[in-house]
Amino acid sequence: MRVRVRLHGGLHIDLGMNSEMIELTPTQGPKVADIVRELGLRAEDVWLVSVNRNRVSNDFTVQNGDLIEIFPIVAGG
Amino acid sequence: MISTPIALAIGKSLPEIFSILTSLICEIEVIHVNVLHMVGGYTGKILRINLYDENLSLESPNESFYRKYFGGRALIGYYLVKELRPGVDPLGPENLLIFAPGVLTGAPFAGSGRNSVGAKSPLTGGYGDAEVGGFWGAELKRAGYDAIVVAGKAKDPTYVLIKDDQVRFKDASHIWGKTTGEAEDIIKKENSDRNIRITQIGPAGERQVRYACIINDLSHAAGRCGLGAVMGSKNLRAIAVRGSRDVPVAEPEKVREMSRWLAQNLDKTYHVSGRTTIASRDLGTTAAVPGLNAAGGLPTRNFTQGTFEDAESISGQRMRDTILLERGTCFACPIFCKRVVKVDEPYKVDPRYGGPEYETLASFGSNCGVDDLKAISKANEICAANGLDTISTGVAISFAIECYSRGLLTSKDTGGIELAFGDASAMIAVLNMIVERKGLGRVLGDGPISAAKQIGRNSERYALHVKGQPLPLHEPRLKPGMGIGYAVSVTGADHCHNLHDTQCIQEGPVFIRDFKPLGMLQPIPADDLGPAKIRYLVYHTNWRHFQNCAVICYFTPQTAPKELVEMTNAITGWNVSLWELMKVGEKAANLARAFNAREGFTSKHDGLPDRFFTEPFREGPLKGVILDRMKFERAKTIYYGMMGWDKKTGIPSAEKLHELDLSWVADELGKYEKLP
Repeated sequence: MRVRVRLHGGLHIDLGMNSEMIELTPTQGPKVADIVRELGLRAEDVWLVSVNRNRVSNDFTVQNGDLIEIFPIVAGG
Repeated sequence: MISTPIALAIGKSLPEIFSILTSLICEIEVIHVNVLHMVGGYTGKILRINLYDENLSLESPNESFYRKYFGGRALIGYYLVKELRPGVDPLGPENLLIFAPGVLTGAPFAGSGRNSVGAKSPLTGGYGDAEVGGFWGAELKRAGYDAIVVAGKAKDPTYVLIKDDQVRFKDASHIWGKTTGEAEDIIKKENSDRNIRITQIGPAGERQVRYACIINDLSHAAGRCGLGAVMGSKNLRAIAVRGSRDVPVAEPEKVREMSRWLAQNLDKTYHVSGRTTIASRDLGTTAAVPGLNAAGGLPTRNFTQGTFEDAESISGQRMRDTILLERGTCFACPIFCKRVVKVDEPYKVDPRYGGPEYETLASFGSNCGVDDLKAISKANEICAANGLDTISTGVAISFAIECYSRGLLTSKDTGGIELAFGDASAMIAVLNMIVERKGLGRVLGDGPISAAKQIGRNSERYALHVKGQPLPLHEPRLKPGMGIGYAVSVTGADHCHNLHDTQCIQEGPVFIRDFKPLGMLQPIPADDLGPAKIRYLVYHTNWRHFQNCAVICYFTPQTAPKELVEMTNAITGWNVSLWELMKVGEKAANLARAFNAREGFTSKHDGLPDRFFTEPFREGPLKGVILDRMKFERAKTIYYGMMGWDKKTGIPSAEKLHELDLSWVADELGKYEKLP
């Protein structure tokens, strides 16, 4: 399975990545929580996750080709 | 306090004084008073200006005054309660206009360049203030002043030039009508000093658009409450400042050490977004667009929807990858969170006016249905160049669009322009009408309460404001605690002295760093509106009130509770505690609330537009969500009780005012029979 992951809000910088969009072959499980962990993110780094533009829970199982978007807490101003 | 006439001087002979005073018509020299330096952070001088007779004087408060009021919001509240009588016309000469940095302004650390501005607001008729970043606040402190209190009205367009001890009134008739950029160029050139810092209004303020704002350094705005209209009503175009002194601090090495530490640890400290400080630089506040959209809380089409199908087009990432020229910053700040954009076509957007931050992306973007980032940037530039609050202006236009879509306005009213959500050129056309105060622009420029009255036909249900101040771009159906904060805010709907419910939902670096020291120990779901959430609103808002007394930037790690206590002590030499600083914030909130009570505001003014209680979203993650009115009113009553305010009227009790060392305010309210 191969998925695309987009890290919003500067998350990619904190992970030391050059780009906010990466392709990933999950190795730790197909659930959103597994992918978050595999990327090296802590639970507190993540506010919400959407898959193919729909908000999902951490328990959601992703499919091949899905676009997973991970959002940190935002405030605005 | 001691009032010092300008003729009092130390070190000058009488003949010298008379010579100076009599030789000038338009220039008056303030003789420096050798005030014994009291504490770090303060200059010990508040400049009083009367524009009518060009009188100048200095006030030299004692240490207790500064420790009690700090600056910024509490200082503004002090003067407005003490010196204005109720019922003053906000656009009349009796109104005061107060420029107030704070205790910490001008000391060399991130977030210290700001100033507050305050007056009776022409938008709400109540207490008004706004905070602004950039460099002007620091420059005023470097010139030797803790605040400027402006009274009266100049006979002709005027600007004030301050160079340390010299304060001059200058003719501004050749600047009147010019954009802020043109005015800045003229002022710098005619004074042969390109390092002057300028706070000014633009043509919108001259024309007294009710949400005209004050602009610092061309791209920083004291946006809310219509203070630009107050300045315009006084015929005051600008205050230009040049200061040559360092702001004295009690422990300079400690301040330097803390500043150096932040600059060297941007990757280990945290921004309020929860990202590291260095990561937050990438997108600044524009990072909020996709997240709020994914959560279903991005204000869209006049708050009728919470998701915008084209959010990607107006995102911070799209800006970064296309039109972002560079990132700007403020005095002494290494973070560089500000946006600076350049566009050549189809609009020309001048980068000296900066670029849209989150509020502007939403107000001229999703909330007007516009997906054109270049058009939004052009709208941002027009607002900065003419001195308009981008929040209020965008929401005024979205109101007009909805009215048009419902047939409450026609092309006869709009001068032939057909308004529709998503039509960027129509949006810009209406914006220019507001700047010019012509046709529909004149109506919209009177503020939402008056505009809805003039349009009639029940249009007020689409004018989204609290007390006349249009809503910021944070959706109460996602952030109900913020909705309570909008309702009870003394300045009308405001997102800054408020709580973002979405920051309370889980433990994270900022929750631990910022919230736990205030006693906010457990995460709370965003949609909760029980007593625990209200307690968080009370504590966090009082902390934000204090930050607006110190007038420091919310976005730097060193303005979190623990760090700010440490920085305050290093600058002032006092031994303050977090408790004391929270009390200063609470004092500011109660001063402003008392001002409003004296003007006739009560709990019936603390509400939210019906839309949020009656119109659920039809789609998106928040589909079906509305606020429960009974829960809302209960939460509001709990807020009053926690603040020590009367539960029926929302007016501070005498006991609360006494507890805050504001007995004189209790006496004042008693005089007008306003005490509960």
